[in-house]
Amino acid sequence: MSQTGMRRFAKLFVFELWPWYLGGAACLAVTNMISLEIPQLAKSIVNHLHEGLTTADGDQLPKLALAIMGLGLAQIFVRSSSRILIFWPGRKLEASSKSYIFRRVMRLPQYFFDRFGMGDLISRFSNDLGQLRIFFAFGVLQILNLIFISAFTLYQMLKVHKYLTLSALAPIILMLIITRIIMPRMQAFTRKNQEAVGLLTNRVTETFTNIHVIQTNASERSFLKLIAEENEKVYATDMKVLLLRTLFFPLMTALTGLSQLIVLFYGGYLVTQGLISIGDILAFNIYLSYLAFPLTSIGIIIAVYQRSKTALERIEPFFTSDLEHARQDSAGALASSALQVEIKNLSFTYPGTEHSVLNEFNLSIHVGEMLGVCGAVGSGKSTLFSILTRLYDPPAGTVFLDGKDILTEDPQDLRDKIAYALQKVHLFSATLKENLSFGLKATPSPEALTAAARSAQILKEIEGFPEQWETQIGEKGLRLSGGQKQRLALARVFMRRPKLLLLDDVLSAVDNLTEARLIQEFRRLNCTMIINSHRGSVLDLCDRVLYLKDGRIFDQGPFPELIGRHPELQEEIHEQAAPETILG
Amino acid sequence: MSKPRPKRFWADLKDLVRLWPFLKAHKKTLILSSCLIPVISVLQMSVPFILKRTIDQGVLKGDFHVLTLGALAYLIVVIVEYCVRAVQTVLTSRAVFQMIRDMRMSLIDHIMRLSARYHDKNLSGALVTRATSDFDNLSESLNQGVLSSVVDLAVLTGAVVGLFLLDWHLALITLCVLPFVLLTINLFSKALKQSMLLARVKIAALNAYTQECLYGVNTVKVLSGHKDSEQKFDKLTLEYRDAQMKSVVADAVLFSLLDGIASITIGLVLWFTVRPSAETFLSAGIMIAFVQYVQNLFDPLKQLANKIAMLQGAFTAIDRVFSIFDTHEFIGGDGPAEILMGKVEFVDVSFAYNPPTPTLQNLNFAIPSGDSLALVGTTGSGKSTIIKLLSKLYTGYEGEILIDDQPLNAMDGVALRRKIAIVPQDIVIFKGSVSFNIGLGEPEITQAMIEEAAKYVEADRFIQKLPGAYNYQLREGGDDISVGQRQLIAFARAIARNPKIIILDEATSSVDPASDAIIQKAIEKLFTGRTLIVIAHRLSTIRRCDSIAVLEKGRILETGAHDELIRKQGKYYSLHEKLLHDDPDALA
Repeated sequence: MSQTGMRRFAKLFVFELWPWYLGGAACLAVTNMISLEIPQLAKSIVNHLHEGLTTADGDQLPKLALAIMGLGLAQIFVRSSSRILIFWPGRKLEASSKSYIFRRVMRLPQYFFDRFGMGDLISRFSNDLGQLRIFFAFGVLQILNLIFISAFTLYQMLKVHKYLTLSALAPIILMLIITRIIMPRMQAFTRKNQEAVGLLTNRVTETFTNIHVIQTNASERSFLKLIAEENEKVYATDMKVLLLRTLFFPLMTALTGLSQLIVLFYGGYLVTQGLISIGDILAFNIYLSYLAFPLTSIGIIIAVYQRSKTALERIEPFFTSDLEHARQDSAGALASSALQVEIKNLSFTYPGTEHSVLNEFNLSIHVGEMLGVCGAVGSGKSTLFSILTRLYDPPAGTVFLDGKDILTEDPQDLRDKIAYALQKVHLFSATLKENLSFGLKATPSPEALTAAARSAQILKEIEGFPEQWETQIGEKGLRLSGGQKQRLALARVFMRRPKLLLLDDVLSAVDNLTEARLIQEFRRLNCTMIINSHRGSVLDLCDRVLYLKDGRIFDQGPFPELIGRHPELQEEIHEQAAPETILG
Repeated sequence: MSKPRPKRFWADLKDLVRLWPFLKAHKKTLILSSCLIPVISVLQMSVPFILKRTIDQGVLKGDFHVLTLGALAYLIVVIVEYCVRAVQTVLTSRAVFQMIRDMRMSLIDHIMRLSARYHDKNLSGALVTRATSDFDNLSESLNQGVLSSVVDLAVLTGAVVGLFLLDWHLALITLCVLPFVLLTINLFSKALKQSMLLARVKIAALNAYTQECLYGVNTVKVLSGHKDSEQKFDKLTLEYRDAQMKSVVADAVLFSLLDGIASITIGLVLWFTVRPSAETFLSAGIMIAFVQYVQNLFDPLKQLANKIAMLQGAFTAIDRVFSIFDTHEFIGGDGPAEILMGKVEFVDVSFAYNPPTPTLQNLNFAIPSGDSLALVGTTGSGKSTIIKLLSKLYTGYEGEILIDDQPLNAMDGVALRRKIAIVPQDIVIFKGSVSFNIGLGEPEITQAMIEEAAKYVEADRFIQKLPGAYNYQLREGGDDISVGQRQLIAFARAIARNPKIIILDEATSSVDPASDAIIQKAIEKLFTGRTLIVIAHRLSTIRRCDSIAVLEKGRILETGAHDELIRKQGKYYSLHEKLLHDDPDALA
């Protein structure tokens, strides 16, 4: 699974960066060639020293030493370039993959978000892509380095003495075996550790986001306790990873030492036999120290690879989960200014639950109708709206707009025709203007903003703020009251030309007069309207009212008739026309 | 928010010292592991000596015995060094992980105690980053960077000492290079730190925006706001990327410089021995040993350079974590909060969120134990502020607030809030069981108390219908139950702690009538035996209160019982009349 995941990731974000990698690889090759020339020069100096000098050598040797220094200087430039050329694409692909996944996330269906906690999703999104960047920058550099260095040094070493080379490299074979045994465990531990960190982040996010509530209820202790439990798990998994790592990584250094020991003993023996020169021992030692770092890094590379594999598995759902989409080709655009809604025999259960929220629901709403919906908690009112906007998909062949199954339409095209004012208002930490123009195709004119705010009965308040439309709201800005938030969200509705308007109990925090004015404004939009409300005053104005009970239409008709037939409805409804509510 | 600001190396070290209180508990472990560091130095130092002797006495003279002995000595050094390094790493890393664990809890505790005003100003997303990824960075930097750097330094010292013992002339030549090296490291680490600080600020902004978009994903969808959110997201992502690219350059140049200087040093040493004016030539053994030493010298330096980034990461994380520890926006008072009666009194209280604009001005009122008070007024009249002050979420008022004749100032805020219950406007449901959401995990609230409270507000009926009843796991935000049910849970939450004082803030504004009727009944019950303060929206509730305070622009216009105020024909009367005739502008 992660194999294909890795390939997909590489195809999407890595391959296009090949010029960078190619340039980086070239520089790296040159760097290594320079590095390997230095021991050769050093070797000839030492050999000359040992064998005694002639006058000619006396002139030659300082030049050789100077050449080493020159090569050192060249190393600085080429190596810098190689690192920059390989590390930059890592940053590039991190950014491009983040943007790509963000686009997908915002188009994933609601049940995807239900399945994962928000904190967990955020952690996957922000941390795990970083792991992949490390692999595709640091990992790639180390792998290339390893390939070049081992190829070049092996060539030079084999040229000197075959068996000495093989025996010096024996510890490395041992190392590879150990790596194969330890790494799968390391991966398992690392994954557990990442999961623990994800859960901790979840808890902390939930706690800090709701700190006001926790402080108000003085329940800091119990939330600290919950966090401490997750924190303890992070510590425990950290320790397991640590133990394995500590046994493993110094082993790499030790095995390099073992190689140098073999060179000293076996190589020394070969020198006494006159088979190799004393300078060869020096060169071998330098080669081994060159090999040491890339070889130690095998462990690191594997660790980085394992982590990025785990990360890939964790971001897999972002790639493979189906986005919201049209089930079939969508037909031509709808022409009328209002929509006709038809629901046939709709039964609906939330994914992952058993209780069905809507049962054999049948409904026909004609163009331009103003339909009220009332009923007790859990009777299916909000679900109806979630389905009409395809936040949740209904079964095929049950919900039709202007005679067309909504599943055949792209969810975004569908939502462009519908204005849905959610019961739970969400505003961004941005200016009022940005919040109102959010999602509009073109930047709205100041007049359009003013008109929408006036329709939503919020203009006076906005003009009262010192910075007016530029007022910053949200976590770092002005805190608005529930009623103000509600009316701001409604102003977004007035910024659009919807054909179908869904209002989910959005008038709960406004007073009766504002409510009446708002409804008048809604009517001016000339669209089909479904209003979910508990207010007799609102329901009275509707052409028809549905009385929902247990996911079915229990009865329907004009509201006064409905309430006459069902006196128990009184309990669901605020006393009619009673001016009970004061604007908050 | 921390702005990028370069700091001096010494200041960084001072930051490291601040970790000590959290490390103190592991003093013995740390001392033991520190004792192991010189052992590593000595072992490192011995290697070139073994090399020199083995080559000069063994290899070059053809003495197999010396060769074997040298090889054996080498083997022992390798094995012992491995064991010492492993033990040393485990000991220190364990101490670090324990420190991180304790420090994280202590920071979270600190953040949770910071005043509401502080939390108003700071994005919760940024605080989450402080408590989670900053510590992950710190732990990674300390373990992979700082601690192994200490070992690297030990190796370095061993190498320098060895150089002098071997041949002091050559050693001096080599050391000539060191000042350049240190200068380079210092210069680039500064540049590196600056760009990393900038990157941190950028990532925090990016994370905060990501969080906002994910939590509001339905709104983005319904408003077709994909393009807008993507544009802003891309902009933030690129800003973060470009900040990171700068540190990549600094890091690359630094690493390469050290690598190059190592080669130049080898050239320099060799040149010195073979320079035309050189008088004596050194033995091959010394040369080989010396080259090995120069490697030993630069390997740890290279590692250090490699870890500079991590080291800076640690400093940055410490900086940011301690900037929160240094924030003492607590609300004072640690006295007991014994509330037996529930009498509340405001004496000449004035308060301003943003001085000099006053929010409350010379407020005076008293609620006798067991009485109820309705606060009436428009947004901005100061109703909510009264409640925030009374619950000690905000402080800095003038005048005196008294509960049971005790000054609020002296009381411990948390202890106080355990005794009073507040039902806020926005109900929050946590991920967890229904029981947890009512008791909020407080140990003194038993399951029996939870169920009793739920029955009292008639939440028990719907809870029993949930699969698993009180053990039903609610989703974060409580999307799986209705708004009305959420409200009932909030009521049960308030009542479960059996408070002497209850504060309701617009709690009835968004409840469906079925639940509302039930809640009305529950409120009726609350009116007996407890002091009750309501930010009321319904005339029925207002009328039910023993007294009413009409607020305007932070002042109390009039107080009194309903009938009394009606008879007075003042502000309340006209308000009441206008409300009856459906005119909200009465309160505008």
